[in-house]
Amino acid sequence: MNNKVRLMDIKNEAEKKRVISFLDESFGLGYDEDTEQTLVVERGDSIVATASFSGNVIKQIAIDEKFRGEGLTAPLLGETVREMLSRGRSHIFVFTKPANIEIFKGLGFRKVGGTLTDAALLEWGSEGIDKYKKELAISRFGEEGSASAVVVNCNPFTKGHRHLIECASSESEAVYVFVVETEKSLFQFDERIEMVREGVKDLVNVAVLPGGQYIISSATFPSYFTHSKDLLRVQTELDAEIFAEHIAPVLGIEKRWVGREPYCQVTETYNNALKKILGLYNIKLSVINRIKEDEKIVSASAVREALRMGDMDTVRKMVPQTTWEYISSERAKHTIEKIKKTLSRH
Amino acid sequence: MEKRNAKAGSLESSDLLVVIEENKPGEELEIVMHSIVEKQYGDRIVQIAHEIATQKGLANVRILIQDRGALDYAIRARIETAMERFERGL
Repeated sequence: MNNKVRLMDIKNEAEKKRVISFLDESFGLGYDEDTEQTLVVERGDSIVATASFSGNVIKQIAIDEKFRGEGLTAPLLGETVREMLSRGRSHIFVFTKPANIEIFKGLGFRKVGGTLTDAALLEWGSEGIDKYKKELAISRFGEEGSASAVVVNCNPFTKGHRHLIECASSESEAVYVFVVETEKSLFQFDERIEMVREGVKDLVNVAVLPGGQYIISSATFPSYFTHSKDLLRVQTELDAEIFAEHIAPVLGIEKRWVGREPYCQVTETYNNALKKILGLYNIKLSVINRIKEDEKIVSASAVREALRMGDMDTVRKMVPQTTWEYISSERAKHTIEKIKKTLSRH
Repeated sequence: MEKRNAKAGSLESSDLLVVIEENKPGEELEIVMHSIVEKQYGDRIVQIAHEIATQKGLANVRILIQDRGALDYAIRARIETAMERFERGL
């Protein structure tokens, strides 16, 4: 039996179309446009199995029903893992249905989350959630008591973020602010975390931490960045579960703070998922009303829009002095240029 | 996220995949092993990896072994090959 796994040239439109129609016809699965590499097993001219990845996440795994039981899974996923390793990705993630967990476990994947939800997240490699938790524990500070968490992207850091963190700071012993680390925003992670650090410097009970691989990353939460709505609820719940199950206990977090979401469907779904899942772990959720400037709700997207239009007056009103200084600096020039040229929401 | 590594083997049944990664400066030899027969043979597999790494004088690396029930000599061969590839890549 020829179970040879082939790397597909997805820049070739005809090749890509074959994968798209295989996924669609056999499984009703979509094909993500940000797919980096696709691998296939073929019999004659037909694709019988496929897997893809982008970054460190494996996705779009499908094996033709007629060829189940022929041992295609091990070579297909083994080759996918090897190819990812060749590109320097040694910490690998996969999303799957809970029913498939055992298949992945047999190949060395370990479960991260998915006890309460319709999707499970598994990981592979020498890095893992246990190691992350050990490193995270070092950041714990303050007396035993009510610690809070805020998770922010800050693209860029606005007065709204500042307000949210201030609220948390005034009511908690310790506040951990996690900055989303995934690079899918116009402001780079380094810029974003520095704006946050500068912006909360005066709040002594606030620690700013990188969000890492387990908080709204491409692994825990791909739809946040791709906007495929069908998966959104499940993934937001999974992200919430990983936070509640793994991260909160390490830092003694008893409350999570979020801003009320009037516009963005993704964020609203996320807030609902947090409410549902965190409650099961006895973690409270505080929803803070958005602040306004000149009757307009302060938000990072409004700031980006103003930057795009060159409306520096609005920018100045919506961001704290620290962010304003950064935006006006030489270092931010490249990012500001990028914002002016793009139409991306993120 | 991207780190230099070398590998040998596969995830097929009765085989193993060995990945050697550069560790952070100052860190010691680290062996991470997962096996379907971990309870019975886990210690033995780690011992083999340790022996070979010591022989070769590889110190500042992390060795990941994902075993699916390979035999001793296969384990040795995979680990040695991965280490040679890693050294050649230096």
